[in-house]
Amino acid sequence: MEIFIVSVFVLGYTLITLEHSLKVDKLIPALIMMALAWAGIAFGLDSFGTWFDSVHGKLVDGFANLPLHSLGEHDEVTYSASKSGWLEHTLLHHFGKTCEILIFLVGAMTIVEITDHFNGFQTIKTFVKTNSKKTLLWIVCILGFVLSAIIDNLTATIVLITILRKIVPDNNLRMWYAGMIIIAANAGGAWSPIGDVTTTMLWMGNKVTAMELIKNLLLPSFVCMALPTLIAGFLPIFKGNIESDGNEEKRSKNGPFMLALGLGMIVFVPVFKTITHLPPYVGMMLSLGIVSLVAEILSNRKFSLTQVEDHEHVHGPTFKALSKIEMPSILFFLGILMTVAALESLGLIFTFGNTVNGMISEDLFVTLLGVGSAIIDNVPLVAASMGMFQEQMDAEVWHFIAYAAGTGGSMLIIGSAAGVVAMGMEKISFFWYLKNITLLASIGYIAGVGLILVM
Amino acid sequence: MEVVVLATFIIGYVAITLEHTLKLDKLIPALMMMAVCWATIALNLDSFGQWLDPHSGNLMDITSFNHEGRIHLLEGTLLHHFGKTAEILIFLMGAMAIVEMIDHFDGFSSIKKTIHTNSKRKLLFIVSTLAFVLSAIIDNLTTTIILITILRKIIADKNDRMWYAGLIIIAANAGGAWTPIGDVTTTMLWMAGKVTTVKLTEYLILPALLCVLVPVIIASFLPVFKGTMEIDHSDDSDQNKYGGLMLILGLVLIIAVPVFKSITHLPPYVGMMLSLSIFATVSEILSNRSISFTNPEADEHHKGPTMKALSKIEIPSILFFLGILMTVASMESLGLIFNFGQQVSAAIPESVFVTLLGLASAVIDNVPLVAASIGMFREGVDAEVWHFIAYAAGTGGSILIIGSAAGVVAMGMEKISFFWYLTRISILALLGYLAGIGMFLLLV
Repeated sequence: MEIFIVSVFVLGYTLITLEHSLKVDKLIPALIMMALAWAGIAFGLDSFGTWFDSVHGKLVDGFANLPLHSLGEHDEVTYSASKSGWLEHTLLHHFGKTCEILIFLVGAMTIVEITDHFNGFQTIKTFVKTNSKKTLLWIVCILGFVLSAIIDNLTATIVLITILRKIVPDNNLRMWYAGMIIIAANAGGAWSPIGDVTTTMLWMGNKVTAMELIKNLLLPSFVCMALPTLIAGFLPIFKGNIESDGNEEKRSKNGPFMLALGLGMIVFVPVFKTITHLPPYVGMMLSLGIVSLVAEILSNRKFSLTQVEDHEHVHGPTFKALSKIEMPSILFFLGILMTVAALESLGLIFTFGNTVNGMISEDLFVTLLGVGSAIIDNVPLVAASMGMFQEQMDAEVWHFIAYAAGTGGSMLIIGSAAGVVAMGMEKISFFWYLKNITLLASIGYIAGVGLILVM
Repeated sequence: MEVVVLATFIIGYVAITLEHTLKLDKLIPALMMMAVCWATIALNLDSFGQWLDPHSGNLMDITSFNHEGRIHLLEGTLLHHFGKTAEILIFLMGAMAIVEMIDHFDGFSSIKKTIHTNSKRKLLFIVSTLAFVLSAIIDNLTTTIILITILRKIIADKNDRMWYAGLIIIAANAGGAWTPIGDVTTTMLWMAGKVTTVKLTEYLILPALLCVLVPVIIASFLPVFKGTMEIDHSDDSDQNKYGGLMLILGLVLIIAVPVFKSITHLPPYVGMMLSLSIFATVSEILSNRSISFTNPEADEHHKGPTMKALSKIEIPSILFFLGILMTVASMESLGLIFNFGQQVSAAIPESVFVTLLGLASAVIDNVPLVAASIGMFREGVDAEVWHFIAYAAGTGGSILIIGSAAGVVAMGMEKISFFWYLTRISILALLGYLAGIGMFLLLV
């Protein structure tokens, strides 16, 4: 059954990468792959000998000997008493975590769309004085680096790409910017304990302290971002100026206000998270509620000022903004993340890593771990490696792992959450990224690794 | 602090019911009250003395918990509720997308063609029967979506259609109550080992049938269902040739979801996503072919039917649902619902209590009610009370439009207002509900 699941995964990934030649939207293989992988697990549940507990990041003790279904009074036993209990619990855990990201994404996209409804991004163009592509590249990358360290790399990517959409009209150019944002956001997330899920995991797991992490990784991370950006600056695509689309026709008087509100409310999300310790989507929904409340009030007032009963069923800005959200990218994300979760749950990744770790040196292993995180999600990788090494707090290996897992994912578009989101939002194909961005990302990654090993 | 949570809920709910008066989309208060409720809980975590554990359904005494332990508890509980809520949302999106894709191929016009009658009363019986039977197999939410979509093709008059939609809600909720896969609540009772399939059907088929027959028969004497109507035949000429095929395929795939679920024991959304992707594949292939037949390079950036269907999904309804369910979950976690139920249950007899529970499910979502009542009673498998709860929670929600998922969706699709439903359909639903209860109590 393991073979079936792995082949579903390989086949599905192949179909996703071949999206453009097959002309089948990538969300279809992603969803099929998710359903088949979990169905495979459900069918073969009795035959599995290992199970990965994602909450605690270790293999379940004695999973092979657990009964398939628990006996006795249903509400008295916990999930850990049976295999089906574990399956149910793990699936709900992963699904919950995945949907937290999806709902967060929906919220962020809607706020940006509402802001755009009021032509809010027209204001940004007046702020960004430069028309030079190269200067914009540096601005965007440094913003990505800093933002992702403060907020998290997923949010930073979403916010920057959505803003770029309003500033850079050319699709191809924007894909390049998006690629560089992925590199910058992943690099920025690695050196701050709250910047990336994996560093947060290491921090919460008492493997690293915030000060040491920043001290050890700030420079390597910066190099990992700056070197690709420097090189990209010499590429022909970033030469010259951005052609402005020139239509400055309708400038809503509420534009600047809505822009300030929208961005302010997005920045408010991590603040809300720090105060309440609730997952970010709760804060994002509150922000969405406030932004759309203001938007509805503003547009209601405008309607009553001009024509009172123009349309009976006129839709408010919230409604319009919500209909512009791209559901395919949301569902694609669901499919991908849940499939990786299926692989993770079987303990396949964990077992494989353990075998490799026994054969090669630690430095090489961690470097490869980073490369591996380009293929597999870095969260299970770090979770697994936390169980693999027994070193002390702030040992070098932990910082190295934080760097490798955080930045290594930039090498393939499917390697990091930021990349997968960009893939959905900007329609970047797997091969486009492989041809154009992967080399840059690898140079940055290796330069950073070199710096860590020297230091 | 419990007071703040309750007050937020009440204010939010008032804002939702006054949606049309305030001219404020109902998803705004729903989302805000969710965030405020959970934030209130998180910020005053140390002040709570009890907590409802979602895994076991037991009310725990947490006075001895330290801050770290409480944070851990909150995180676990929130993730659990969010996961359960998202399961419903993703399931819903899948069902909506399939239905939209069937619509893309004009699939529902084939059903429309089979309805030959011009009599409003006959149509009422046909539609109600369809809703009752369909919702027993697939869930009542999907049934409502499908039937309202069909009605949109048949009935041009908005007011008429709102009446039909109201009776569809009653029929769909009644139909969902007597099978384990028909409704989320019966599924919950079934999965928790409280009822078995055969017994549930045996106990509830007659009461459920009565619950729909009484309102439909009364309604058929109302002036709005008198006479005949013009059936819209305008777009019959340019019918898609795949319409019938896609309709059957779509329905079979939706029916396959509960089958997939009972084979794999995975949550229904996994099966729904599989069905969606199979359906999307077929429709992409069909539409690619038909495009290459006609004009190959008409549109470079042509969007397939999947994209179109997905962009038509009503995200506002989805987010509204998220807000509502998560707000109730916050009150549930504090043990407010549980305590309330316990107090009431101690004061009055069980059958009265369950009847009231059904009435309450018209205001509060029936999922948390059933979840709470699973922890409230200690009876064994197939005890009468479980079947009674299944009936009450399943059908009681019809009394108010916000009382059931079917109603909420109909509210979104047909723009039925809360008060319109209250003044016209509620009394019918109430009569049916009480008749069914009478039947149930007679039978046992």
